[in-house]
Amino acid sequence: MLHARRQEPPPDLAGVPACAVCWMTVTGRAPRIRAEWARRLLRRGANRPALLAEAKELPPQQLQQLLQHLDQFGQIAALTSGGHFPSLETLGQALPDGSLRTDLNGELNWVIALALNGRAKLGRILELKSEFETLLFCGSFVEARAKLQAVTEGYGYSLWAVESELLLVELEQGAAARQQLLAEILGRASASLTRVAITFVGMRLREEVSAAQFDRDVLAFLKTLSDTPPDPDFVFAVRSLLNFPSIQEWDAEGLAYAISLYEPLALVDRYLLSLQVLRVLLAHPQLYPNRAQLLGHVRRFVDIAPYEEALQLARFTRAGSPKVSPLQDRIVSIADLYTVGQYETTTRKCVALLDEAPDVLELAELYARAGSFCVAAVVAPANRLALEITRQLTTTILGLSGAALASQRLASLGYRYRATRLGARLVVAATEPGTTSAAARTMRFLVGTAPSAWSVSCFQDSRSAKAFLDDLRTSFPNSASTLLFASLGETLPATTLHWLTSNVPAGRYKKYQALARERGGDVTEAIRLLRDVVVSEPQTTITWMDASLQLMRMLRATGDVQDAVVVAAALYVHKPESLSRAELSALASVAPAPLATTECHVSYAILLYVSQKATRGTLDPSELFPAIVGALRAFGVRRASQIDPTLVTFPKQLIFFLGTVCASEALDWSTDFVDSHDLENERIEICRVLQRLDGDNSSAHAEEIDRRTKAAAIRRVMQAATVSKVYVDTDGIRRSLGPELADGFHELSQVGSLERTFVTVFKELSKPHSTTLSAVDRLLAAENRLVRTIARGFTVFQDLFESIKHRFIASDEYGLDSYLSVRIRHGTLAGYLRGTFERRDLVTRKSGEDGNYNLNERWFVDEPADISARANKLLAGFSGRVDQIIEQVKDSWVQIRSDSRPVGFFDFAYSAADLRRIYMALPPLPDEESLLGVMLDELWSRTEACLTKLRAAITTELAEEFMVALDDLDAGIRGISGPASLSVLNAIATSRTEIQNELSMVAMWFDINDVSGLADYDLGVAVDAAVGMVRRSHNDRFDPEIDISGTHVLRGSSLHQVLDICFILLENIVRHSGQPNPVARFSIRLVDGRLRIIARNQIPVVVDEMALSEVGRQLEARASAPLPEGVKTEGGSGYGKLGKILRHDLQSVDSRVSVVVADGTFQVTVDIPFSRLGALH
Amino acid sequence: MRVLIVEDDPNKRRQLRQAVEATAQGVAVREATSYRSGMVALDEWRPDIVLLDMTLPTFDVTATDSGGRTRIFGGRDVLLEMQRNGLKARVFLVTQFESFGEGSKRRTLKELGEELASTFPDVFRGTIYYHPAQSDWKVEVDRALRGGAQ
Repeated sequence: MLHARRQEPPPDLAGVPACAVCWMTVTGRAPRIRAEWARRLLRRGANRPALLAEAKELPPQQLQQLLQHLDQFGQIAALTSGGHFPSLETLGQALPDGSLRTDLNGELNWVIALALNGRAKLGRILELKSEFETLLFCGSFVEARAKLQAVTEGYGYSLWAVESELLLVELEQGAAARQQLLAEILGRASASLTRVAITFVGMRLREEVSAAQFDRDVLAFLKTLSDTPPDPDFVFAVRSLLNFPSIQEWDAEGLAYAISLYEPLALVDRYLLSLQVLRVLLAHPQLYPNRAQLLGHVRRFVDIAPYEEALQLARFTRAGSPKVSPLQDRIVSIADLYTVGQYETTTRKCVALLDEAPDVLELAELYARAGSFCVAAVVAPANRLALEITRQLTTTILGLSGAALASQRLASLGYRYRATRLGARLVVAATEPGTTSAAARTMRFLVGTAPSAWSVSCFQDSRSAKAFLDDLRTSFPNSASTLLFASLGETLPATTLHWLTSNVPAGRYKKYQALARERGGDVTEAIRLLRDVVVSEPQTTITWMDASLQLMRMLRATGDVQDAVVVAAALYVHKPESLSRAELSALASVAPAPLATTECHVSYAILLYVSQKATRGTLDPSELFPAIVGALRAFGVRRASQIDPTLVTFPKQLIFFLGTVCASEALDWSTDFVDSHDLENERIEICRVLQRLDGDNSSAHAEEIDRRTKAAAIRRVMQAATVSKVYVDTDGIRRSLGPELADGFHELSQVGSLERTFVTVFKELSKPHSTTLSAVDRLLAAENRLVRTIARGFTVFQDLFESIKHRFIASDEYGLDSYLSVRIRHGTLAGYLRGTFERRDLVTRKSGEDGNYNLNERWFVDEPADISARANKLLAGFSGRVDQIIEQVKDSWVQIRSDSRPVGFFDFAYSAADLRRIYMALPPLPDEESLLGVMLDELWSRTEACLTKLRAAITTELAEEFMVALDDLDAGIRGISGPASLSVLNAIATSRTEIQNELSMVAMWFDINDVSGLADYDLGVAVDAAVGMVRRSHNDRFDPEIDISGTHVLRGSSLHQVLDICFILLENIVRHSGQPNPVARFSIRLVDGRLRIIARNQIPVVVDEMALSEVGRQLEARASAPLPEGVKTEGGSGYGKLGKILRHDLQSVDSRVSVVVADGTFQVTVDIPFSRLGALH
Repeated sequence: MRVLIVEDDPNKRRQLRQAVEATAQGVAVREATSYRSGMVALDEWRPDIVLLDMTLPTFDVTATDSGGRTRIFGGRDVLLEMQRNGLKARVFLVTQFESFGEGSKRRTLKELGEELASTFPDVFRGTIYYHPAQSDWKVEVDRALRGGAQ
């Protein structure tokens, strides 16, 4: 039951003396008054909550006496201590007439008094708790269980006991057992507070729930309790109850509420909460301004029980003379070994002690620090918990890569162990590295196990600091660590000082001296000392890191930003996570100009980069670029790859600068790079420099070079496939002509010979002196013979030309039309043009069921139905229009004009006059090859003329058609008001530019291909290029698994065929697998001199495999037919085209195509003699 | 007067050139089609007026080059580099987009213009909304060339 905080005394207290405090402070009357108080509480109708609340404000001693007195009265005792040791069934049940909440002083007063009152039992519980936890940490689960049982059987249940039992089961038997136990406990627990708490405990114990997520869940739960926003203090209190160690922001009211909220819980729960509250109050003095009163609470708290967790409270406040436990003594002695530089021994002793006490984070920290000085690998703890903690703590303390993640793991571990003493320690240890606040330092001290001289920095005034050190010197006489710190603030005997300077490593000694100098106001000397340390210490050590951090902070504080930047960059590249985000941002935000040195320029660029990544998560190259330019200028070069690494004294920084800062998206701000290839080459050149400079990561740089080189190769191959798709296999034509060419040439030669004879005679007879009749007769006869001979020759020429032309344009095997079909009309053109609009979600595909265009799933989805319907109608109309334009291009433009198809840009009609002109212009031809060459030249010339017109039409007429379609869509969308309209208009505007670029590229397809100029290529690159082409034309999410055994370099002349084969196989998967994102595998194997290309994809379960097998057989037959079918028609599988490529383009009659449908997969295998591909190796 | 058109859309570029040539006598027009070629032309040719697109490829798109990274705010990048390098010209942003960005980060053309005017007061002179099927923008271009306020 929760109580609202009372501001005024309740009315029935009116008869009570005005001030209970005054009432009780008359010492002589105290016994009588205690009796009177008891009577009032017992009186029928008494306002007991108010009376108890009043009691919370009593001076501690009197309150203590009162509670002891009330214990005599059973009814009243139930009010004050009845629920301190409850059963699981009664845990969390509100006490009858529990008290009202007061302020933090009152709540602390009350709970400490209650704990003191029940100290005997509580002390024993705490003792058992400590033993249980040690056993738990050491993995002695059976013994741990016995301890826990001893608590619950002897002293009742508590939230702590429940949580500990759940943790124990989790560690011992796993999550399922923990869940089962949780259900059992929830079945027994009846109080709603307990049930809620335990439910959340169960959630927290799951490893995958982070502290932040858990806190969000708690808040979400609280919101479900009421429609109105809950009281912030109540929210805070519940969060405290469920998630104490992870809360970062505190308020006094909330803490008071938390203590009062715990009222129905067991005394041990209330004690543990109070311990945490007191730690928070000591670390955050502003929460409790009355310091004397707070220290009074702490002193009384420490008196409750000799609980080791409270020892540090006593040490911090110097409450009495704190005892030194044997464990503390051992920890301090190991710390002393570290102080005097015995690093191997330190790590060894840490490991030995950690196996006994894995929860002592001081040991884990010493282990990490000492390890940074050890050259040889150090032995790791055997205890699994200690191993995990030391591993993560080493990463965070040394600021290594992954420190942020390691911190999260520590926090997560602490969260899991929240009920134990380890929980708070781990959460504090996980605090962001670099946090230097006094609160963080104090909290670190308070949750610790042993006092450390390093903690002197928790004390803000020198008197407290000295008192603390004196206290330590009393507890740990001759401790080197304490002496070291003492030497910084006071004059030690010369022998002691000599011993220190002889035994403490110089770097560490100087580092602390610098601290002392800084405290004493001599910052210049402090900086000088730290510079010495930074220069002399190895950069792997913690001393170097600490000194660098201190130096950087001092330089910043003194305004020497440039040096601070240099130190910070060095820190970053050696200890990437040693600097906090705040420090990085602060340094990077300082105006950089004018930077003095090259190192300063490079360092600034590094910090800017790191700061952007850390604070924004992304790069802002616009800011980074000037910093890079500044660094390059300082080096005296224009390009980063021109830097001579041998001249650089800061190689690690240069490696980071070149490898990471000089990213392509920053470099591309420079106009020094003429195109994207130039930029890409620069990155490759930078990697080459890095290979020399950064030998440790040479393979990584080589990998980047390979990756970029391969990407460039793929782009080149795709470009080669894009630049020209027009092709005629003239060699094939030549082979197919056979004797026809030879016969034709022979006849033409004879005709030509006669022609020459007749021309000679004719010329002779035409001379003026030959004017006799007989001469005239002979002249006429000769002319007649000449005309007939020429006519015969022309007929021979015409027949042969028509035959060759037919092959040139219409041959299924070699002709232009079949290539236009395979490479352009068959899906490619539609894919490319449609793809432009698909990427902007302006077009959808037709549904297979009703032939209508699918609804647009990007735009207007959340708009009202009428708007959505109108928009979809417009977009469907646009889809139809785009398809119509594409069909028109395929059917009417990219076609060879003929009698049966009187449209098309490829017009190969030759009139008799055209042919006669060609014939008459024939030069003397030495052989039939020359004759064929002349005819092919003519045909290519005509082809080029057609292509010129087609290219122009594509970039003008076709572009205009798309522009008009987009304008119409634009106008339609403007008529629809809706939030999506603006986005659609933007997509339309973007498409305008993109479709023009796309059309420019499509126009390039219609260039004449010269395969002899194609470079040799890697088969893997060609496959990647084919995948890229399918992605671009059909589905940019298509991602087949590629598996190619070995490296195969092939002659450039086979590139188009290989691309076409791969494209057809892959495109079939995308188009016909029946899945939007098909799962596919594409593998290539070289087996016995034959290349086996296997394309396999999964088939949906709804597909009838038998029926599909039949389809597969048909496809196999189509691809294997000696005379390919369908090579000039589009829309099918393209398998006829596949067969044509294999048998005719590659002249590989023994190639095989097989299709297998089995076990939910569709597999096509193409088997080609490797030699047919022009294999080089 | 020298007018530089930095625009990657061929149709828009052609229309802009026609509009510029129709407006002013003796005007010299040069075209650039990317961030990079725009910057080079600015540096080498020192135009008086720049008609600048907002979204630009980094490099010129050619038969052998896809143009590198597409800069959504390439026009702003050009302005930023002009400012850094002390390049002076009267710059007008000519765009087909009425808004920029998505969701809560969406800005209207007017808002973007105000932002650019405040960030680049020395060079930025205003925005012109271009639409291929409309002609209002031609009036704006005419006014820009004649030095009128935008």
